[in-house]
Amino acid sequence: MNRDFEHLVASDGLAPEEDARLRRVHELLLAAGAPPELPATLENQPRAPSANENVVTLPAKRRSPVLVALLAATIAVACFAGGYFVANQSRGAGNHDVRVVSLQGAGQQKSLASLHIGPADSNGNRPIRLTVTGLPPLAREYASYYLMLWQNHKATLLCGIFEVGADGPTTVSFSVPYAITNGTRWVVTEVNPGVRFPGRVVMTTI
Amino acid sequence: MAHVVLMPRIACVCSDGELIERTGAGDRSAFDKLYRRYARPVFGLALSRLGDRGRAEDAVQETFASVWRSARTYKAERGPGAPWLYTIARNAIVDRSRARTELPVEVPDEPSLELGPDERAEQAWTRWHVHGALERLPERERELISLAYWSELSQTEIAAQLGIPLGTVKTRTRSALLRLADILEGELE
Repeated sequence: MNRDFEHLVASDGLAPEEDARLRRVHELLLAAGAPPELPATLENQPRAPSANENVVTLPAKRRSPVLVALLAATIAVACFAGGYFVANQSRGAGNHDVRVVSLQGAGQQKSLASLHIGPADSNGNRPIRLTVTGLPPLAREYASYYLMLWQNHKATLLCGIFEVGADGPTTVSFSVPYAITNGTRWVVTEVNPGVRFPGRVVMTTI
Repeated sequence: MAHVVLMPRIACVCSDGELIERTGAGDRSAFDKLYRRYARPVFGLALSRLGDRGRAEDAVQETFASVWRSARTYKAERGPGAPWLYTIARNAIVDRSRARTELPVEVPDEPSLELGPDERAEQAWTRWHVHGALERLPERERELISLAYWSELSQTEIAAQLGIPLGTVKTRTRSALLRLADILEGELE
């Protein structure tokens, strides 16, 4: 295809400075190349900022002493319950676990797993301890299970590779440099030789 | 009697800076307009840096979430909106690239013919500007520019596809380039 300026643009009658402007834009278009096609997920609207992303200043209200006492009691109970829950969740996994996530078998798979995710160190690496039970041992050579992050409906980032034995639960430890939030989801995939990475999903976050 | 302050409706000629300021004031229609104008440039930038469509999509989402959160901090007197948006997008992309698994790199025997960091940065900036300006063209002109510069169609085929005379294709291309020049020069002011 001919992409010369004279071939694409009706430039006759243009003043020299206008001609120079258009030629500059022409060169910029050629240098920039075509814009990418937006994926369908981004085509429509931006993720609507949720209401709680707005900072709203509420007018100060005078509250009754009874209401204040009730509110304080509710907060105290909630704090106690929260502390009890967290203590139970982290028992046996050390006191520095910041989060515990459960996974279950996909489809008919009767497996269960828990992930104990520790705090990130100064370099951004987080320890993860996976305890899994109910997964069948993989018989084929070089076959393994992969623990991966699940984003945009697919397994994306690898957290670790493991195998399981025939008896009892298997516990393995990994370290990952990824940003992990409350919304982060994991999967376990089964990867067999000759099967395209990241293989078949066998466990998902509950 | 209470005074009700209404946001004026946004004309299509709003500058990026105005849209950011309105977004900072909580105007979601301004935010949507910014998104429509810059989603493609942000995605292009992310794709070229990350090389992965999924991560690039995440970077676009993160960029616009950051725009929504920090639009209030934008100060028009410090400069136009496009570089401010570019900085936010670049930071979001850098965050995403830190989260990727780095594979060991083999040292090549021959010097690379690929662009160096400076050239890549300049090219990314050019793309950003041009693709952002394209989004501000009327649909008809944007389509024409796409066909003229990046399709495999000849001018005669473009005329046939759009149902207009060949001469009109060239004069409309000229109009579109003039408008682009105005937008691009306005951004650089």
